[in-house]
Amino acid sequence: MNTATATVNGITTDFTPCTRPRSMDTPVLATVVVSVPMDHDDLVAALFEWGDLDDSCTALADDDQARSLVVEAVVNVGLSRVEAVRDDIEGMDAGDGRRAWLALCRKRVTQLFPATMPRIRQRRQCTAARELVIV
Amino acid sequence: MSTVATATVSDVRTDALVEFRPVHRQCATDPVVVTITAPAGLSFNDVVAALYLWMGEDPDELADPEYVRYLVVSSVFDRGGSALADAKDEIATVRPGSDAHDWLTTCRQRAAEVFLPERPADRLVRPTRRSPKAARTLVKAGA
Repeated sequence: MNTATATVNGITTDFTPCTRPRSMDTPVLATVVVSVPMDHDDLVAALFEWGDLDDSCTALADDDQARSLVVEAVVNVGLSRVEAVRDDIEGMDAGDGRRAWLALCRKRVTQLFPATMPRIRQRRQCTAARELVIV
Repeated sequence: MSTVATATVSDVRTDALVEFRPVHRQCATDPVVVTITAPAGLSFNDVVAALYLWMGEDPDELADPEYVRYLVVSSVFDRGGSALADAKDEIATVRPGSDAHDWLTTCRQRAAEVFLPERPADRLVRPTRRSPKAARTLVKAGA
C-alpha cells in the first residue's frame, strides 16, 4: 500500500489509504485534505473498530501505530462507521466479551490524548438534526 | 476547537474550501479534543464512485460545482475509502438502460466537468450553471 501522512493534533502520523493501493497507477485527479474534530468517545470508537486484527494489542501499545489506527478509521473505514461503533459501545452489555478490548482502548486514548477525559454523554434527538443538515 | 469539519479540495482548476458537519458530530455534544488532518488522493474513478454513492439525489443538484465537491468530501470521509472501493465494484456491474446507469452517466459527466482540466472548446460552449439539461445535451453531442 502507498502511505500518506496525516496529523493528529499536530503529530505527524503515517497511514495507508485504501483508495490508493500500491498496485494503483491511475493518476490522482483531486486531493481532499480534511480536518476532522474528534471527542473522547470518537477516539475510543476509532480504536475499538480494530479489535479483530491479529496484532491489535501490539499495534495499540505503540503510540505511532495507535494514532495510525485512528487515522485509518477516519479515512478508510469512515466516520459513519465510527458513529455506529460508538453507538454499539454505548449499548454494550456488562458481560460482553469485548469489554476487555474496550477497556484497553479507553486506557490508550487517555494516555495518548491526556486532555480527553471521558464524560457522561448527553445526546439529543439526532433525527431532526440530521434532516436539517441534509436539507 | 470547531465541531465543523473543513476540507480543501484541490484539483487542476481550484483549491476549494468545503465545510461539512461530519456524521459523527451531528448529535455529539462532547467537547472536541483532537483534530485529525488527513489527505485523500482521488482518481477520476474515485470521484465518480464518491458521487455514485449519492444515487437518489436530484441530478439537477449536481449542476452546482460546490455541491459536487461537498458530496465528494462527505462520501470520502463519512462513508470511508472502503465504501468507495465497494461502489467501484458495484459500478462495474451496472447495466446500460438501468436507473443506476443513468445516474452513473450523470456522475461521470459532472466529475469530468468539475475536476478534469478545462478544454478550450468548453470555454466557448460552456452552458450556464443553472441549465444542467443543456450541459448534458452538449456533452452527449460532443461524445
